[in-house]
Amino acid sequence: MDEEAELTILREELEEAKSQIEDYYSRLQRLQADFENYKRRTRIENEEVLKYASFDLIRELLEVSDNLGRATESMKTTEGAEGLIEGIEMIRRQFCEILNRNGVIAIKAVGEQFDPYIHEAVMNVTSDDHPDNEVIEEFKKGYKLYDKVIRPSAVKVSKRN
Amino acid sequence: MSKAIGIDLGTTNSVVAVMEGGEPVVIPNAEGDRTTPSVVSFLKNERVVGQIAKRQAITNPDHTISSIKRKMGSNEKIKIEGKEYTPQEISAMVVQKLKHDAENYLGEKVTQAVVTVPAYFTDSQRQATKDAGTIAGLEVLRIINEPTAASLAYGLDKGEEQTILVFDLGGGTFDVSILDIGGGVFEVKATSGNNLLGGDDFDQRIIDHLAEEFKKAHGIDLRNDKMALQRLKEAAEKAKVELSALTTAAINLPFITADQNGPKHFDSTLTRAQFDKLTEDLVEKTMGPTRQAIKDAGLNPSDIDRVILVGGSTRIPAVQNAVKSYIGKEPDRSVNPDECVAIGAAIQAGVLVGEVKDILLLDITPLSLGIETLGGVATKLIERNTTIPTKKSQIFSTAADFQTSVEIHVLQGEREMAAGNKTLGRFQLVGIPPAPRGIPQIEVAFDIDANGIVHVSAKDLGTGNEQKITITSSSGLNDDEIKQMVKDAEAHAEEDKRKKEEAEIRNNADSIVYTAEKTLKELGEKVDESSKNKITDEIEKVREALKGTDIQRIKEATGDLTNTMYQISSELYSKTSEQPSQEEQAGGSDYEVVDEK
Repeated sequence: MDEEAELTILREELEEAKSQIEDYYSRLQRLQADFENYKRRTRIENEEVLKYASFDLIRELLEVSDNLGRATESMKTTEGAEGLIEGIEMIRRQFCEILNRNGVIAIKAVGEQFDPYIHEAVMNVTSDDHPDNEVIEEFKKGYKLYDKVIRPSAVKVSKRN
Repeated sequence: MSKAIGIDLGTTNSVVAVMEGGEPVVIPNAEGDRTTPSVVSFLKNERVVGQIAKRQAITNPDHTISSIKRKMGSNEKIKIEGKEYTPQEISAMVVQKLKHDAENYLGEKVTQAVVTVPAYFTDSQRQATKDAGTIAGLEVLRIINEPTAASLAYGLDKGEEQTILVFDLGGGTFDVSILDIGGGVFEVKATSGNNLLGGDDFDQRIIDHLAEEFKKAHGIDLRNDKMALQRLKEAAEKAKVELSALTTAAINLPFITADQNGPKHFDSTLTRAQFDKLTEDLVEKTMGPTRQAIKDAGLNPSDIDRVILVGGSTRIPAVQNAVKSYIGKEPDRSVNPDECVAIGAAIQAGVLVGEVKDILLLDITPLSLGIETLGGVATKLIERNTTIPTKKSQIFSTAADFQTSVEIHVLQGEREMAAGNKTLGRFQLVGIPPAPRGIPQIEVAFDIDANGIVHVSAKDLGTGNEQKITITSSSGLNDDEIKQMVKDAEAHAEEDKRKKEEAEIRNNADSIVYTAEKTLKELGEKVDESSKNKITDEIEKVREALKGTDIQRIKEATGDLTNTMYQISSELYSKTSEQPSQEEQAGGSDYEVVDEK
């Protein structure tokens, strides 16, 4: 009888230990899985971080390029400024070439079908001269860094009635 | 073993988070952003959600739906291209995108979620939110209140009973809730708010102010020029963000417009004081509901134990100050206010699927551990906040010639100098064979086990001799003492740094003298008498300087001696360049030196 009782206790203890092992094992598995995923993602993220490290800086620098463009645009109505315009345009071109070499691509807009993945509509007009949903004016040039949109083109879109 | 996500389904923006390795993390969406605009749009042959939908809202207004949350629980139908959608169906499209982005991030299917709703949501609004989750293909484990989620993100479910005020100022809505928390139970005592107040209103004030300023100066209203207005909007938002950290923001918009006299530029600054003045009434508008909620809960401001700030607009200093001065307590804002609701939802989701329980609680060392080295410097081996168990070792050496024992003085704390830190223990490693200083290699190893017990050993790598000590009382400090020690270190940082530098200068001087004397002895006749005298002279000068406290003098004397040594040795080498160098320089620079006993 005593032996029987002892056996029962031992059995219970064994069961308990077993379930504890299971519990620990599943925790371990879970943690291991998390860790593996984490490693994988960290690797991918690191590659991304390297590739897109200059993303925010470029976005801010583009403002400078915009303003150079605005400057030349505004000078076109000024008489005798041709030389100056040409000079500033050269600076802007140089700036764009540097960006280009570093993976920055200008987004095509005017004449293209409006695409919200790369364009942002800031205005639309009803027009019968253009196909529906076509970009008819660009207010601000959009850019991509490799395949990520740094900023969408700000555009005017045509609507047909 | 798939994961359950936490979703903050907001009026303007939504956020999704998940528990990972025991920590909640916000999941970035496919566009790389941590928040997703709650906007849905129907294009010709696809449906887009988030930033992309927002971008085409102007040109496609009839097919773009935003702020659907305001319609949840109503019977209103949204008609698009002749098809009718319920608010829950539209909401489901937002949820679906979040789910999809989470799956991409996790690399596995997601089937379960916890979704948050405002505390004032009725049963039918809650049901509609739950339905939205179901339609999106998720089993909604639980719908929880946004303020509850925020409290969870702050870990307030643990600990004693307390009354919390959650102040949530988002992009377009304002909610304030009073919660009673205790023993894992959250009870909403009162809620109030303003459905049409948010960060956008603050932006608008800046835009109007700037436009007026420009109009006064140039007679042109920029608000009539869509492109100029767009630039003004961006500048206003940027200025608002900047003014949360700085007291002035520059507005710099060249060629904003033009008239017959030529181009016009906008060059101005906005101070925080101006901004506060412009938005004074908006801030006051948040205080009405706050007072109301406290009153409805039958409380006084002083009954509030903690204040939690939620929503991006609570970054505005004037908002924080208003809350602080009314409640009389510093609000909590250590968790990102844009993300804390989603984080709380993720924690709740983790608890419900048993993940949170499953996490082995790994402790960290609250303070750095190290030993004392030459000149009373505390050399850290294990930095504070290192996750334990951990092990670290470093090789040290002797400070004097023929030193046969070293004392290992085990320290805890953040101060640069040993004297400022707490002594955990000391022991001697003896029987080091006599050798010039810097030659013996003594490996000192720190090993903290999972229970926080520190084992320190010192081993003479030459003889294999080893001494150990086990310290069990390293965690004998309570939280306050730890905080105090960290604070002390910060307060004394400058002074300690100076002392450490001094010690280093002295150590360096000492070691140069040692090397110089040794070289002199070894070279013997190879050096001419005048050089010898010069070196001896300069050695004496360094020694003299070391006796005093003038650090600059020690530095100069050491510099002179070093230069002379270089000169002499380069002369020597050029003379005897055919002969291979006989000895390697024996000096301690590779090793740090254990304090001489």
